[in-house]
Amino acid sequence: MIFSYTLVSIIDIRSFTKPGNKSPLVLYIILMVISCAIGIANGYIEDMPSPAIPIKAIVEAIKGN
Amino acid sequence: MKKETISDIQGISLLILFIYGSTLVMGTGGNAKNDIWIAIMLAIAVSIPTVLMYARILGRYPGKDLYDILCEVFGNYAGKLFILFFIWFSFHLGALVLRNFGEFLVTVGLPETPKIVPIIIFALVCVIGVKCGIETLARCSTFFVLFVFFLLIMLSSFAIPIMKPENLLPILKNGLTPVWQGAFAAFTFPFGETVVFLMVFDSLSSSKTIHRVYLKALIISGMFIAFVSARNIMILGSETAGAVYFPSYSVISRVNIGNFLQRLEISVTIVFIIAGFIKICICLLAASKGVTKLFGFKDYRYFVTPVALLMVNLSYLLYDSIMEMFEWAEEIYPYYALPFQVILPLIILIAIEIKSRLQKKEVKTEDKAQV
Repeated sequence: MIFSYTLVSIIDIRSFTKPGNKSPLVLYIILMVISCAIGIANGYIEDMPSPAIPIKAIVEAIKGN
Repeated sequence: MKKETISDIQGISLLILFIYGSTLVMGTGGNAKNDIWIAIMLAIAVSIPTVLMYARILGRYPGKDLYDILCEVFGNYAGKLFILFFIWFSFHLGALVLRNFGEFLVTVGLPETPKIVPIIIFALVCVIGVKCGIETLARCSTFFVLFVFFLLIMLSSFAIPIMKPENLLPILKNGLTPVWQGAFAAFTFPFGETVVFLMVFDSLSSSKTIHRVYLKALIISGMFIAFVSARNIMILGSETAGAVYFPSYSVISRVNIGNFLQRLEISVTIVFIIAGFIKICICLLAASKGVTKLFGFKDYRYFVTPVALLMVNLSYLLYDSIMEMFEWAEEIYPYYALPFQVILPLIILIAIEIKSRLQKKEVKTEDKAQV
């Protein structure tokens, strides 16, 4: 997973980042690390909590179920 | 960076394909059963003032997208809070469509393949599409939309021999309540989802024709969706259409003309791939633009890949099964989406109007003071 994320990042950065423009790289790397971490966690943790659950709970509370 | 522009026709094509998205395959307004076409007509009628509201918001600030407008109207902090809401909505919507696509492919064609495989491949294609820019997507969509219309008309005419119009009768058998419920569902999915275009339509060449673009696309796509839904009910009957996951796919798989023209259901998959591609691209574009604006960068292209990969993760995490996905789409989604589609834009429009009136008053008082 880490290898494929690194590979995608390198290809992506090389093809789309101009030499003088390095400022978005920090945010880019942070987002990639978060994404990779979620992917790895998903492989290790069974029944990862879905973000749909709290939304569902709120909507059902509003509907009165 | 050169600003990208798209013509009205390209805007209409993009909107039509966005509205088709997953709707033609998954169906909408199922609560109305055999009155589904009435429910969709009602949803179109309710959507007209909503899209006019969207057009008004964009028309007030020509050449600016919703994110710029929010920062200008609400200031930096409150504006960024609103931006977060809209980033979440477009991001989540993209993930939902990706998941629909994954579930559809795995259910109808690739039962042994892990869901994540088609999702990742499709997301990467969308990344390339978004990086090419809105102009390229819009040019593609003018071609795609003709192809989709051709397929829809051709497939529906092939299905005429197996249509049973009596399946649409009796009209309003269960009263108006299910029709209103169906209309509400059809309004939020797919017509209200066009709120995402508030983040994209700054590229339209003329800001004066935004309302025409919205209305034409809404009416054309709405009529087609109503027709396709009525066709599905006529062929499957309301009970079967409500029981199958992908009614259009089931309908087209029944087409058999002279034992020669059959197994045409692949064309439904093609329609879903084309329309789903445009829908995911627009959601991805809106979310990437939002991230760019939120952190004060200029080019959204840097963040397309990380946002798309996060979208893939979210789409995989969202549901445990296809049953859960449909339960969410029918029971939760309309209530969840309504604030993003109506309440927040309404608040924004009211704030814009108040601000412009206050500015006019200030100008008048300054003029008087100078005189």
